[in-house]
Amino acid sequence: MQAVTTRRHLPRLRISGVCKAYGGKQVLRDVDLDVPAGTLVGVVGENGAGKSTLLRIAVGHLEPDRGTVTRTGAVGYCPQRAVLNDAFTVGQHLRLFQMAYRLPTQERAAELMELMALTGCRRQRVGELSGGTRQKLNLLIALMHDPQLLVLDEPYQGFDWDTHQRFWTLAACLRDQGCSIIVVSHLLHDQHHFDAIAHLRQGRLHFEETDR
Amino acid sequence: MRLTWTAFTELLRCTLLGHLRNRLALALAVAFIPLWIAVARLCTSDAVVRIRLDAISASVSVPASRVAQVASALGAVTMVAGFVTFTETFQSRQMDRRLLLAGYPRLPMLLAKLAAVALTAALLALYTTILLWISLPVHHAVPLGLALAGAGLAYGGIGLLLGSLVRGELEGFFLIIMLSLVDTGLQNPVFNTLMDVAGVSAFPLYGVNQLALSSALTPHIPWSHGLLSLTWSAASGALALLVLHTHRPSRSPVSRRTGVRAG
Repeated sequence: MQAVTTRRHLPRLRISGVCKAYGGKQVLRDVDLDVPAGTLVGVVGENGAGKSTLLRIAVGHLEPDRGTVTRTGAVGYCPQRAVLNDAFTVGQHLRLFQMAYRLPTQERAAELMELMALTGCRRQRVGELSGGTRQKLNLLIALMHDPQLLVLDEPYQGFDWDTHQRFWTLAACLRDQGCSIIVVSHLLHDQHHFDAIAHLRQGRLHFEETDR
Repeated sequence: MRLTWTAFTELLRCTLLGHLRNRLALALAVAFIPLWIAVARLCTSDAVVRIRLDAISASVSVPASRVAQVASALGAVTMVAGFVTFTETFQSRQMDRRLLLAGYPRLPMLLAKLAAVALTAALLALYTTILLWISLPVHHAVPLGLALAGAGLAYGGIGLLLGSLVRGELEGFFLIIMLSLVDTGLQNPVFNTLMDVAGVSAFPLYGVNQLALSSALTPHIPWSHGLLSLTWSAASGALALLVLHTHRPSRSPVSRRTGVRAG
């Protein structure tokens, strides 16, 4: 089984022999991936290579045709397209996800709002927000319960440069605290942030070590 | 128990506030219903027609415009209730799945959706009953209101079901409008005088239409016919809940054991 460089202990996410087809098209073929604690893994590949499918299977949003997925600890998932309710306010989203995660307070969410410059938006309806601000909320929802495994599908789409940089600083900080992070990325200049890069080609993962 | 109750009330509150922020739905509810009743009043003859009401097993003679107003009110309530519920369900289904994946309790979510349909139907029925009461000499306002609420519930349930099932928004709107048009057309005794079309009693509006017409235009109240629409509401609501339930996110055995939550 192909595994990403192991730093500590058992992997937080273990994908073994996963296959997935849409109609007659085989998107994932016997994919194996381990993401240990304290590791930041990048998943790259061409459009339609199956990156989002792999991540949706990883978090349990989609059933694989074959293979197993094992996750341990709380999971934070940031889907590629912001999955929010346009009719609800930012504050209502935070309240609903606070209940979903069984969080006693919104302390961490408030910190993240500050970090992402979202503090003034609490009463705004999501349908009125810009694309970048919606994406910030999309990401914040994945982070607000301090998950041990973070699965992020192009989480910085629409971010301005400063927010983009702050995102990578935050990701590095979470990784250093022991969080396992898997990020889909298209951007070549982001690839130095990863501990390992998994390249999805013709349904199979090919692993590349980085300089880190 | 406390979490279940809070999860129910919070989602219900958000859903109802979301309805209030849906300007098109509000405009439809506030303007379309009185407009449709006014059109029926102005464009239908005052000539007395003899109509057959199965619910009281008798024929009654009433001005055609009164029958048309009650039938139009029912049609307007069904369309608005179906539209509002469908839009909400369709637009929130991805977010609902994300909430469930994150660990939001399933039962309170499903119950909040049903409660929102029921409250929407009740408010629409109250408003429409007042409008009809102003426009018509209504014999029994309470059963008329309950019949209108039954119509809203039946089509609210259908909106909930379609919102969970169809792929495109346009498909859902088309199905709700077509079903409502066919149903109200078949149930309107001015168009369908003898009510002898096969299968007419199987449509969602049959029971409430009989109850509404009898309560508004005659001294009789055939309560049992109102219950027929509840069968439709219960069936469509239960199917919608089943769809919402079966579209749940998957969990691996390990993730279930460790209580994983993903946002």
